[in-house]
Amino acid sequence: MMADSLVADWLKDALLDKKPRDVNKVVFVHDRAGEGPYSRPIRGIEEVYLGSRLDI
Amino acid sequence: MIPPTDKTGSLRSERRRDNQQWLLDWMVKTTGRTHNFAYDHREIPAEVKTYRQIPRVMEKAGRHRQDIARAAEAAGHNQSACELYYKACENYRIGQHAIFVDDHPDKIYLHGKLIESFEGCMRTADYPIERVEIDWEGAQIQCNFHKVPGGKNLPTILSATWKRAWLISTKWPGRRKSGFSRTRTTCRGPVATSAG
Repeated sequence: MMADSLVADWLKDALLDKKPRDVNKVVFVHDRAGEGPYSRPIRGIEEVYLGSRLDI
Repeated sequence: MIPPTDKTGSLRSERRRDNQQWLLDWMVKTTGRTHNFAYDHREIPAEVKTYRQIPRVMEKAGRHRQDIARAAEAAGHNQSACELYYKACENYRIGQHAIFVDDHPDKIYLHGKLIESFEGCMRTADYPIERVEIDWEGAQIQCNFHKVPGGKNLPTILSATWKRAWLISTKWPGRRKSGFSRTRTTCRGPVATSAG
């Protein structure tokens, strides 16, 4: 639903050498909330499991 | 007799189309549109099953897009931000369109979010856009003025999308207090031109 709105700013950044050296990051893109690809990086998929979110 | 519209938050409409609510709900569910049902393009998520769900769902979608747009703007991704702000505008526009009650608090709120999102477009667009009011036969027409960067003394086009918008803005200026008429006269507007 959101992909059609995101244009290739990242490509422009790459061409202008503005990308960070380390681009290895994991982001959880929620379907209906949050900041999409601009959300804060997470450690891994286990961080979005319900148990982790409830801290149990 | 149909009761007059109250201002308490009720969505009851004073128009007789409320009597046909089941038909309107069915059309929304099957076409995914608030009006112009003949068009093929769906603009409402499948989550919407009845007409009265439209403002709630579209507000949520608009808020999501606006959140991503803000993050894109903060990251310096203006092109994405502008696209997302505009899509948020469309979500809020569709949301407020489904409320028939003039000056309803939800309608005013959604219209305010529409204006706020469009301000995001104005900040992130790659050419200047300004809000202007044009005097016209004793009334003011509210417009968005799209300038050609660096242009001087260029011809200007004043575009009103449809006759009804024109009438609302010029013949019934008092109604501009409601979210309804402002939406019609600002965002869809105009146009091309010069920076003088």
